[in-house]
Amino acid sequence: MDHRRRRLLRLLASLPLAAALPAPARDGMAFGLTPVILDDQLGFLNQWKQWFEARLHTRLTFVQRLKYRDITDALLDEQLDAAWVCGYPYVRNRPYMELVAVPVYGGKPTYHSFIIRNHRLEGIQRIQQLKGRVFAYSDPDSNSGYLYPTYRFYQLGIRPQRFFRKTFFTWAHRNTVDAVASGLADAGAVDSYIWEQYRVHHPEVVRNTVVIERSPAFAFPPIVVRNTLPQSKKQQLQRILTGMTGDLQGRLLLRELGLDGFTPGSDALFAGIEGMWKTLSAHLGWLRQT
Amino acid sequence: MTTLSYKIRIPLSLVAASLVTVVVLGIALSFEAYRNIVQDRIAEGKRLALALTPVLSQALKHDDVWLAYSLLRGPGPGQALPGTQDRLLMVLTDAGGTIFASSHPDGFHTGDRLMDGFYTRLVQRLARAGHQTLTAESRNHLVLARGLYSENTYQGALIISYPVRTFWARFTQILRSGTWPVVLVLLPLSLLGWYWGSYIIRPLVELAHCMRKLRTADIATLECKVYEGKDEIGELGQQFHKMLQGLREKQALERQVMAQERLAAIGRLAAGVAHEINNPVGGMLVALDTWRTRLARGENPRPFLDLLERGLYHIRDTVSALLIESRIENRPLRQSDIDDVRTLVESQRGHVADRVHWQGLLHGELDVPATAVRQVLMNLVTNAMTAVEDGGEVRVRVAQRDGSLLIDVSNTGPPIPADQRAHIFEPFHSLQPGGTGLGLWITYQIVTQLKGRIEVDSNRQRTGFTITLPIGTGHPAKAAEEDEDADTRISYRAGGG
Repeated sequence: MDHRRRRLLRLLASLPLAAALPAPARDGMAFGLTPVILDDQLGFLNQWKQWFEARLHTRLTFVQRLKYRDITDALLDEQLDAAWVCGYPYVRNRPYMELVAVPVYGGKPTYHSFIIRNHRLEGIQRIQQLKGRVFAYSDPDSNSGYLYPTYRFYQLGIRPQRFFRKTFFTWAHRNTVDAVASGLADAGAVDSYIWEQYRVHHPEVVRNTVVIERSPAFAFPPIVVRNTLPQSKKQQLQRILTGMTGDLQGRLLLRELGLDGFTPGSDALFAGIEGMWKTLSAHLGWLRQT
Repeated sequence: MTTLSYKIRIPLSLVAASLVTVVVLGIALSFEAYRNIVQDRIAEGKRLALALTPVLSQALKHDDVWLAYSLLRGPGPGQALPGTQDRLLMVLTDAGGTIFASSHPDGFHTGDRLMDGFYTRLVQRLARAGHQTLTAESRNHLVLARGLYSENTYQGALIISYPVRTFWARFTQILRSGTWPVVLVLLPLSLLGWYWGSYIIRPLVELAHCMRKLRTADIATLECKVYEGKDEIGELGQQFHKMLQGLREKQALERQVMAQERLAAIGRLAAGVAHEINNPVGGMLVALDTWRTRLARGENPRPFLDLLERGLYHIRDTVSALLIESRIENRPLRQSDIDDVRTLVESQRGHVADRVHWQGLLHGELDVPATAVRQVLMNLVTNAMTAVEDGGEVRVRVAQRDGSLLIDVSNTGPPIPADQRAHIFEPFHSLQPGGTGLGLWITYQIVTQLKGRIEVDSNRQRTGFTITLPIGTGHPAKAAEEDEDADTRISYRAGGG
């Protein structure tokens, strides 16, 4: 997709919206969060917000919603200025979003999708053995929690609706871990970063899950801004994020997050996710099944 | 229990009564408490079911397992883990009876059929129950079930199950917190019961103590403080006082009567002695007067002197009969002594001899004064033979038994009149016309001196005298030395008879 065409599309897409819903006049920045991070640590979020505000020289509001789609929609509606989204909605809405930064995790800007199972199902070592079981996805807009496992089932020739007894969405990676750990679901697909972070904070829960398959590396869920945000603001945000390792407080916050830092990243990183999306889109039946 | 003193029984009963009351009350309250716990749980479960219904209904409609689970599991992922068995069990089934979600996914797994028969029966009953919440109790669980409806279409069922042992945990907690107040109440109540019981029973205990003293102490000087209230025990006390008074009066009267009788006995004795002596003395005085004239006429005084001599002997015999001790020698008793007595009495009264039956045989010598026994036996057998002059028979038995000599003489003659029985051992008191009235008196004196015992039993069938004499202890000579004043002795013994 070339740059000009993208701009046109963006313009076309934004025109009716802008006419119907003029961007609300507001001070500061509205920053959307999705369950790609453990977004329930309010103490941490408060510190991060203060750290941001000190550098943005304006107020910052973290906005959380139940589903990924709500955050994506709010960003497209210009109710949000920036958001930490999953790579999957990013590649699908690239005309309306601009990449600001990609987190660096374990030295790389990538993560994996883990297929996990309940620790008591000891005989199960491969996805193919999950026949007749209950499988938990996280969110239909999640790469690691939905797109990748669906793609993987496609690769294996597994039709989830027939293969599993039941599938359901937990709407967050940590919920998927809870569901599998408690036995509500026999297996599930989960973000590797969340699984590791959750293990740090609640080893007693994560202990009850076992990873039976890990995906290839995918671009880590990126931080994006709406394409209508002034470039100066985008660049300011990018500077702040990539410079987080430069000050002590920033490093402490990163340690809290379990990340090494942020890098500007590039669209090329998301080729893997985009490839899976396109493959499945070509076989629309696969996606519609769920 | 009956051997226990009322001093213990009454306070103990009061303590036991308070104990039983508190325990029974405690059990009743405990039952009530347990019932309340169960009722509270049912009410709580109904409220919970009602509150969860709309959202669970929505979860079923949207096939949102996670939403249902996050409601059913309660707060926090940590608590949702297996191992915490005592948590409330909640199961949501769909319309087909398949488990949609539960608070315990390890036991009630999503997608499984509801297998527990108890729960399936309950869910089946729900079809008829409509919008009501059903309650059922199994051995280990209290279960509530409620149907979920979307526009009157049955969507599924919510089952809430309380483990019964959680009630027990709460119940024992209530019991434990209730035990100390009960103990605190029971302790003073028991002490009060004990004190009150002791207080109530004290007058009765004092009365019993007084009555015990009555057996040993002298009635005249007995000092007893007895409660004399208006209640039943007080009445007892009053009656006791009256009784004590009566006893004292009776005792005084008896002493008076005894003294009078003693005086009367002395009087009778004196009169008897005077009479016995006066008879020969009177005869002798008459003879003396007669012979004074005859001597003046020069007649031979010899018959007069003989008469005088017999008269004086008679007086001497009479007097010496009163002084028994001088006649008792110390010779051991043999069977031949008994045989002598038999020969003497049979020669005197041959016509009743064949109606006298002799029993018993003594072996060797017995350390009992032979003369005394001969005299006693002769007196009793002679009396008995006189009693059967007009018919009847006599039984005589002399035997040795348990270190004693037993002499038993009985006859089937007329009984001793009741009014005479008290006086038969008094001197000059004769039962037969022409008797000296000294036989039984002498017998009594001898037996008493030999530290023996004499018993009389007289009824229509028979009259019997039983004498028991200790062997080897009788030394009457010593007794005589110790007690020289014969007058005192006689009067005393007469009184004692």
